[in-house]
Formats: sequence, C-alpha cells, structure tokens
Amino acid sequence: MEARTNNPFSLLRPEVLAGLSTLELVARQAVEGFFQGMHRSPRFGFSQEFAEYKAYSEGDDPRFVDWNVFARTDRTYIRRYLGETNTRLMIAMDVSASMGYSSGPVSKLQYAKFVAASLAYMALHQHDPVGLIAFDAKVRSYRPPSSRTGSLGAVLHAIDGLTPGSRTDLGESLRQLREHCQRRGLVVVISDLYCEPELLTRAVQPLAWRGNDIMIFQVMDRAELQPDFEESMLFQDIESGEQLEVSPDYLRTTYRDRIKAHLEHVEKVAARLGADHVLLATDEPLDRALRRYFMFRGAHRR
Amino acid sequence: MWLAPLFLLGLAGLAVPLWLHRFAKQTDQKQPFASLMFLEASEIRRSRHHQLRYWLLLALRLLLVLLMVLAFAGPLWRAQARTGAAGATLHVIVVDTSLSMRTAGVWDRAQERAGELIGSVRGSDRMMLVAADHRMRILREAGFASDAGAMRAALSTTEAGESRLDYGTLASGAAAWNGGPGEKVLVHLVTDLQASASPLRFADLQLPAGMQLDLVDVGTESRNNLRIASVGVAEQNDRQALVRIDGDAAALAGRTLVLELNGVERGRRMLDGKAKLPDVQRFELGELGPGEHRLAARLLPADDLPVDDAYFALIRRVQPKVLLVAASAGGDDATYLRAALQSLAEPRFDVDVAQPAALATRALGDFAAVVVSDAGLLTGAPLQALRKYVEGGGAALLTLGPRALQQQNVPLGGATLARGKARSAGEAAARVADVEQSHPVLREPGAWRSIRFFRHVPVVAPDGAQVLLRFENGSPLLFEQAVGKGRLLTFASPLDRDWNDLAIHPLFVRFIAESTAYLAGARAVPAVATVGSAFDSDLARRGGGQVFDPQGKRTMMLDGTQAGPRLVPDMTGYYEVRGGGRSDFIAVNVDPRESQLARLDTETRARWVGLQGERVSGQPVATVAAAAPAQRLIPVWFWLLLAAAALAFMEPLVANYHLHVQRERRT
Repeated sequence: MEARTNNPFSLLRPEVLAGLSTLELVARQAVEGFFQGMHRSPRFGFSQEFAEYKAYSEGDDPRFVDWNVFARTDRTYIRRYLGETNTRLMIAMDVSASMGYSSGPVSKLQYAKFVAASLAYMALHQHDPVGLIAFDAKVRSYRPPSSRTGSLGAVLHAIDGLTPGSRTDLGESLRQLREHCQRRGLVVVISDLYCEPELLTRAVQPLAWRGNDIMIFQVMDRAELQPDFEESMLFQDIESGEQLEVSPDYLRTTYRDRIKAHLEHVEKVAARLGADHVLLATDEPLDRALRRYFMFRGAHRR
Repeated sequence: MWLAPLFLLGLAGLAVPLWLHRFAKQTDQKQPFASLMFLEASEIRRSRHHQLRYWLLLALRLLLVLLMVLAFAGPLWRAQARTGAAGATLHVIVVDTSLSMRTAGVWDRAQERAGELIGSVRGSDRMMLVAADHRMRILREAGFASDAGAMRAALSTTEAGESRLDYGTLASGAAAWNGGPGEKVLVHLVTDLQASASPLRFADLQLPAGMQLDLVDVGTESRNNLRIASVGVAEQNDRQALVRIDGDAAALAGRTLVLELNGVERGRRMLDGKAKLPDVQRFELGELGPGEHRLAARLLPADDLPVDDAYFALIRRVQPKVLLVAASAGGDDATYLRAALQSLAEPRFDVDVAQPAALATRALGDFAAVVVSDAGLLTGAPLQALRKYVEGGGAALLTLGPRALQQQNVPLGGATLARGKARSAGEAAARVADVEQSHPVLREPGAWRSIRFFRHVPVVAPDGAQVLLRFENGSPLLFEQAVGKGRLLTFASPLDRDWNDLAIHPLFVRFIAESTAYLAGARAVPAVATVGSAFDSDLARRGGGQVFDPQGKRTMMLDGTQAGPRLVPDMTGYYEVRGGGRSDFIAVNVDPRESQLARLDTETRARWVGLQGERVSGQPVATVAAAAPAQRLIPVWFWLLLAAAALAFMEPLVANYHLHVQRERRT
C-alpha cells in the first residue's frame, strides 16, 4: 500500500486520503502525517515559551491555573504560552458547481474538503475557534467559530455534507461573510476563483481592512492548469451548460497563457491585500497547504 | 440495364451505415469542464467542421455500399456507337491474306493499293481495315480519315499467310460490317482474284443487302508455279516413296526435287523440263524401322510461290503384335476376332492365337495387347502372368462369356457380377442405350443401338472404371479401367453369335480393330492436316499435353480437363504433339487450291460486281438507314468495383480518425 511507505508525506496524497472513511480520519491523518514529516511534535499549542497570564474565567482548563500565583495573590490566573494564542479561523469554502470538476480520482471540492478539514483539525487542537461558511451564488451553510468540545466533529460534519451547488458569486458570498465575521481573525478562502480578480479585490478588501488575516487557497484541477488533448474537444461548462469546441492547439497555447495570466493576476491582488495566495492542484499532497497555513499562522499569531 | 438485377436488393444495406451513425450520435459524449471562462468562443466554427466530417464518413460509407451493390448488379452503359453521318460511306478495305497473295510481287501491290484506298477516304466517310484468309480479322475498327495513320500502320504489320480464302465465306462474313444509319457500305476487296477461291455456288458471292463491291485486282497472270501435290509410300512396295508434282509445266525447267527422311536428305533429282504434269517421281527408302517417319519433299530453286514447293508427310511403321487368347483356336470367337484384327491396314496387327495356358509361358512383353475371348478362361498361373503384364503397363481386352458367368468376380479387373434380379436381367434381350461418344473406340454411336444382345453378363463396374457402353437397364456393356500402369477394356458379352449379333454386324470389325489399336497405343492423331483447317489435337484423350508449331513455339497447352481441343495450324511443316507419355507429329501442308494461280476471267468478275448491282438496284442502299442506331452496351462493374475498393481503403482511415476523437473524449 502506498499509504504505508516510509515517506510520511505520502499519507497526504489526495488519492490516499480519498480512501479514508471519515473526514475526521482524513484530517487526523493529514495533520499528523504533516507533523511527522516536519519532525515536530504533534502536541502543538503547548510551547514552553511563556506568553502571559490570563485571569481564570469559566470554561478555562483548571489544570493550567498557576497555583504559585494563586498562593501569592489569592487570585486564579491561567498561564498562557505562545502556541496557545487563540486565532479565530473562519473557513470560507466555495461549493459552486465548478468545484465539482475532476479529471482524476479527487474533485476540487473533495480536495477543498480535505484542506478545510485538516485546517479545522489543526486549529481546534490549538484551541482556536473554527467557523465555516460555504457558498456558491449565496451562502449555503454557516457555522460560527467555536472551540468548544465537540465542535471539531460538528465542523467536520458540516464540511462533509457539502455538495457542488450552482454558480459562483464570490462578491455576494464574502459580503455575507463580513456580516458574520464581526471579530478579527484568520479568514481562509478556498475556491477555484473563476471570477475577475478585481471582483476578488472588492470582495476581500473589506475583510482585510477590518484587520482579518486572509489566506486564499485556490484549488485547481491539473486538467485546468495544463490541459493536454490531442484532438478537438466539445467542452461543456459545468455551471452554465454552455458548449464550445476547442482545438488542441488553442488548449496548448492560448489557454495556458490565459490561465497563467489569471493566476498571476490573482497573486498580485492577494499581495496587494496582504493576503497569502496558495495555488493547489488536486493531484498534489496536502502538506504544502498545511505548511503554508502553519507558517502563516505562526507569523500572524500575535 | 443490369446483368444481375437481383443484387440491387443489396441496396437495403444502405440502412446499416445510417443506423450505425445514428447509434454513434446517441452515444456521443461531451467533455465537461469547470469553466469556459478562458476558452475561445470562436471555436464554434471548428465544431461545425467536426460535424461535417461525421457527415463525410457517413457519405463515404453510403457510397461504398452503393458502389458495391451496383458493381455486383452489373450495370451496362448504353453508349452510342461511333457511327458515320447519313449519306456518308463506310469503306471496308478487305485485304486478301491467303497463300496465293505471296506470289512474287502481289503482296507489295496489295499493300500499295490498300494504302491508296486509305488515303482516298475524305470528309465524313469512314473506313475499316479487314484481313481475310481462312478467318476474317478486323485489323482496325471503323474510323475517319484522321485514323489513316493507324490504318497504314496496321496494314504495314500484316503479312499474307499460308491458308486459303474462300470468297463465299468472305461474302457471308461481310454481314458483320454494318455501317451507321444512312451510311453506305462499300467493300473494297484487294485480292489476286484467284479462280480457285470461288465458292461452289456463284450466288454465294453475293454480299449482304446494301453493300457495294469494288474489286481491286492486284494479281498477275503468273504461269510459273510448280507444287508438290503429295508424298506417300507406294501401295505395292512400302519401301518406295512416291512424290507427285503438279502445276505449270513452264516451271519445270531447271528445278530439282529433293527428298528428306527424318530431316536427312535421301534423294535428289533434276526434273525433266519436258515432262507432262502431273508427274510422279519414285525414291527408294529402304527398310524403315518401326515408328513414325517424317518424309518431306522440296523443289529447288523456289518459284513465284515458294510455300507450296515443299510437302510434308508422315509414314508409320507400326505392326503391333497382339496375343489372342481363346479356348480353341478354331472356335467361332477366335476366328471372328482374328479376322477382325487382321482386317486393319493401318496399323497392321500381327495376331498370335494361343490357349490360356500359354499366357504363363509366353513372353507377354512382346505383345502390344492381349485379347481374351472369355475372361472365365483365366485362372491360376495364366491369370497371374496376365495380371503382371497389365500392371506393368500392358493392355488387355476381356470379353465375358459363359465361363465368366460362372464366377463371382471378373478376373484381373475385379468387377463383381451382379446378383439377384440384376443377374437374371442378363438373360433377357437388351440394347445399348448409352454410348460415351468421346471415346476413340466408339466412333459410331448410332450403329451400337441397332445391335441386339440376347444375353450378357451383368456386372457392376468397379470404382474408378469409366463405363463406355451401357444397356437400357443400366448394366455396363463396355468399361475401361486402369490396372496398375496398364489399361483394361472389359466387354460384358462374348463375341460369338449365340449371345449377340455383333459378329455379323459391320461395326464388329471396326470395334475390335479400333479398341485393340487403342489399347496398343497404335492409334494416333490424324497425321496430315491443312493450314487453316481445324483438327482434333487428341490432347484430351492423352490427359493433357502441348502442341508445338514447326518453329518450336508452343501453340496450345491443355490440362486434359478441357473437352474438344481443336488446333488450327497457320503454317506448313511438322507440328509436334507431346502428351500422354509420347510425342507425335502432324504434317501440315497448304491447301492445294491455293497453288492454282489461275484467275477469275473478266466475265466472271463483271458478273460478280453486277450481282451486287442487281441487288443494289432492287434494294437500295438507303435501306440501311432503316437499321436501328448502333448502340454498344459497356459493362461498368469493373470501374464501380475499383471505386469501391478505393473507398474501402479510405473508410478505415476516416473512421479511425473519428474513433480516435471519441477515445480522447472518454479519457
């Protein structure tokens, strides 16, 4: 079995993850496999680097009460470390029909689910509240950020239940997201971004201005990035049903130039917004997505 | 018009490609794609082109089926034959290419005059070139003056032959030279007007209605032709050759007669210039050994017509020994058989009569054939000796008599005697009902039916035997079979007068002689033939073989399965027939009538031309105009099949291209 090879990152290959029964298992496999590959302890969040004291409040784990301080001051404080700094993670997932496209064993939506589940799993183990908003032309599903016990299962269940919808309306969806995200946090947008980059700017910029950290995972199929057909093909748009016959020459030349220009444009827009743009192909392992998130999370935890 | 219109039912096959394409359209799949945002809408034009290619494939397949069906149905294209204009004339230039045209200077004049005739054709008139000797050969089909070059080329490559022209045959064959509607037909006969070329009936010279005759005389009043009329052996003295010379006495002076035997000169004699013709010259040949001898006579030097200065003959010295086995040398059957065998002059049999016991003691290899008067005589050692002889390549004729009737099987051949009712049928009178006429021993099928058989020995012919005569009840009377390397003829009735009346019938002698000669291999193809006349090459009976002309070129080859092979020699000399394990010669000479160079007198010529005039005046030339327009039916199946083959080659290429596209879509 490929999943049992010595390379831990092989566990993160989408076709391997697709074989797992539940999304929770997928998330655990992905995250633990990722950290094995990074040679880091999976017990993240328990860094020895002291960060601050925080007054005990209801719901905090009493095991972390600093009893020395209590003896001196007769007040209960919780010791907090660097890894424990909470960041609200809001996952905005595009579930439009175009996300249902696949040329291989894993569709873009399925891959997006893996990414979202892995991020949620990672975040909740850092006690970061995780929320989910799924959208196509409108918001299909919303779950406010929460770090309570059992929320992982609820989030994963919500992610698991997503199916490809209709057309994409990124602007309208992110506008609704802004209404739900009143507090600052990390907003992860997972989409194939079949929209004008300027529209993305208009949709994401308000979130950035509010102080949110933005990560954009653009999920694409390999056939979309590097189509390779030897004969003319009659293509049908999954969302609109429109048909078009395209010559192989066009797909090999002009189309690739256009998609490349589009990706570069999105990259620039993201940079302008201060967002992190990560292009993910559905046939590549998840470790790159998780590494970028981990680095981004580390860089923005304060 | 169709050769096989039933094949048009195959047009129903057009539904197959239609169904296939409909089916293919239903299974046509589109390639889903996430977004057409970055694709070019202008590619729609390509899409239409793609559809067009599918139509192209469909059209290709429909056309392929259509062409195949039409090709098998065999359409005939009705084409208007190239005819002349009304009021024009078709000049049929007939050049006599018979032997007499080889007389000194005649053929050159004939070519010259024919060339002039070709050059004289103008305007809308047409011309046609025909060579006439023992057959009519159209050298060039009807054409206009523009074809004069081709006509002259055809004329220049034609030579006079060695066969005979009969003007009567020419006149009857002229019916094939029809002109177009309203076109007159004028036959220009370029000939030497040889008197001997005339038919027996003067009326046979009349050309078909509507044709006019123009006699173009190219002959000369030559009195300088001597010919050898025949070469043979004297009846009283077969060691002496006789050469008969005939022709113009004026040509005798200074001529030498040379006789050759098997290609070697055996005599040379200066002819007497004052001798009366016909003259017979005698040459001593000496003792000739058994076999076939080529005897040729030549006159030197050549005269005006050199071809008839030589004569080719064949002499056979065959005297096969035949052993006649009978119960008693003085019995009826032995007497009749011996008399019949000795009656034949060619070949002449040396008949030896013996009792059955002698078969074991005599050297049977010395005999060409053995005739047994009653197969029931054969038992024990004599039978074994005869069997060994036949299996080693010998030949035997068995007749079945009362003794054979006592046995279960016919000795030697192994045929079984019939039993039960069939056996009792042999007691009843019967007549011959079925005769295998192609067999050389049965030349007179009608005569066989008149012979009465009171009794016969009913037998069942063994496997592989060829039944040559069969009674009305189906029982075989005469059958031939191979035994080892030899041949065996079995006659299911004795040859005495008690069982049938064959012995007193004229057919008896001939049958016995012919069948014995056949078994002995003494009968061969006719030894002498004439140029232009057909004769049986005998190849079929030999089981195949080849015929070579005097120049050594193979002119005929048969595998033995073709019936009635007839050879028409076109030159004098010895033709060689090889086949059946032996080689024989055929002596071919010219028709003696061609050597008679006397010409038609002026009155006869005028009457001949007048004969046409009478007809023309009574039945105007214009009546030809009533003839239906000449049409030709040209079969076009070959071209249809060729086109279908080309399409069949293209179809997989186009189809594979489309299948390739479909495979790509599914990946």
